[in-house]
Amino acid sequence: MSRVEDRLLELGLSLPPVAIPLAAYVPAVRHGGLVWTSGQLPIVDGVLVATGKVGAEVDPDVAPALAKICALNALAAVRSAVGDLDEVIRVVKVVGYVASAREFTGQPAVVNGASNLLGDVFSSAGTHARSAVGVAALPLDAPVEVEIVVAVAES
Amino acid sequence: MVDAAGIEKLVGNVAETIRRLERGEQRPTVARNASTVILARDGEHGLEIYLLRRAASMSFAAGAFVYPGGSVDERDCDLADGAWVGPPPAQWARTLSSSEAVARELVCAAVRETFEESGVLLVGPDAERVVEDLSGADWEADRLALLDRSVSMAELLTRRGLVLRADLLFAWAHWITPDVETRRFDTRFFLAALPDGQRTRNVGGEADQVAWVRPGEAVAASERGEMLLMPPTLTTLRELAGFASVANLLAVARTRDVVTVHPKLIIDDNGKVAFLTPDDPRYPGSLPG
Repeated sequence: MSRVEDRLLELGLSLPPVAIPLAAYVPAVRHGGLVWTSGQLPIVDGVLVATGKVGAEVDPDVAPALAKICALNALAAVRSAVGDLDEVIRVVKVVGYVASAREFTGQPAVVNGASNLLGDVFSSAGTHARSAVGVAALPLDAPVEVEIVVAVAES
Repeated sequence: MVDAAGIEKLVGNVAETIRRLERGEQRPTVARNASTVILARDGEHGLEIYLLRRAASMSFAAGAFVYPGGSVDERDCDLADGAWVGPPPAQWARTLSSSEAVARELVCAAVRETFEESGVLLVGPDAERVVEDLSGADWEADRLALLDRSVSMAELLTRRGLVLRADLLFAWAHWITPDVETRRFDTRFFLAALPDGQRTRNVGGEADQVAWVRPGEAVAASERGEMLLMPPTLTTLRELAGFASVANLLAVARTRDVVTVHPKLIIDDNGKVAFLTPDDPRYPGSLPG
């Protein structure tokens, strides 16, 4: 098993199978030294584990864990494109979308659930540029969606 | 958020204690390690949580609806490694940010208190199975023996040849009672699904009422003033209200990072007692904005 996946196990986590795309796209694309993932939802074993807007149906204190699940699914998508997460040399960019209640402005704390996981897994190579965006609605009424861009060793 | 009247109902008039602590004339009471367990099941209309109402005679939180739980007992650490399956104490220590010895006690206390206060027992003959029919008089005798401390969890498991299923518990929250209170607890909130085949039983004793409730309905009842909930219970029920099923909740519990909440009671600019959690901008040391 890879070093990165060993680290996930230490954190009490494991990499899920890659999520099946909902429409006409692929989970991740490698182009040159970068891998771009599609937006990932908080889906576990094929089930969206929460629905609704953060700050309304979904408590803001729960939402970071949902972003963390999205990030795990994004890592699974990266692995599907490169074969081994040990190939990742840098997390470049994270974009987190938060389906937000009208008055909710805590999107950064929500997306920290994804950012902190990437830091825990990749240490300093896990630091990244980021956008955390509040949106009106996400597919399937998901509360959070996360996509990542990582740099991989050029083969 | 808890209003001033709500605070008085919960902790009485604490303004003088707050001032004495602020002036350094009084030290906070030491908080005792405690475990509490949020039992969840899939009901007819969705996720349901088990709550019991603390009898009016109780010295702490009388009349409040709470999850089963209580302080660590000195014999909760007696559990042998062979009587434990699931994540080992060392892994729980990382999850709970505690020492290994304390983690062992907290997990054992969680299982013991759940049995004492709900009749649900998170143990089994092996790592795959859970005890099912606990309706017999012998199990009730064991529950009462645990309650009066004449038998320890370790003794019970050894005699019955069972193992504690630490894999059925998930860490969910960590609350430390405000410094001004005289009875203080350092409490880990665990989450567990009601095991198949088990039922909660009428437990009597410290509880005068038990109920399976929809978390959102309990929050609404509390907001209408019809149900007394302490801040950690109210906060966690709000967190649970968005989940449609036990499976969804457990999936999130597996990944959730537990944040310690140590609320403070202060006297605000209007001279009123205010209950602050760390996300409140008035919480001492919190970042502006």
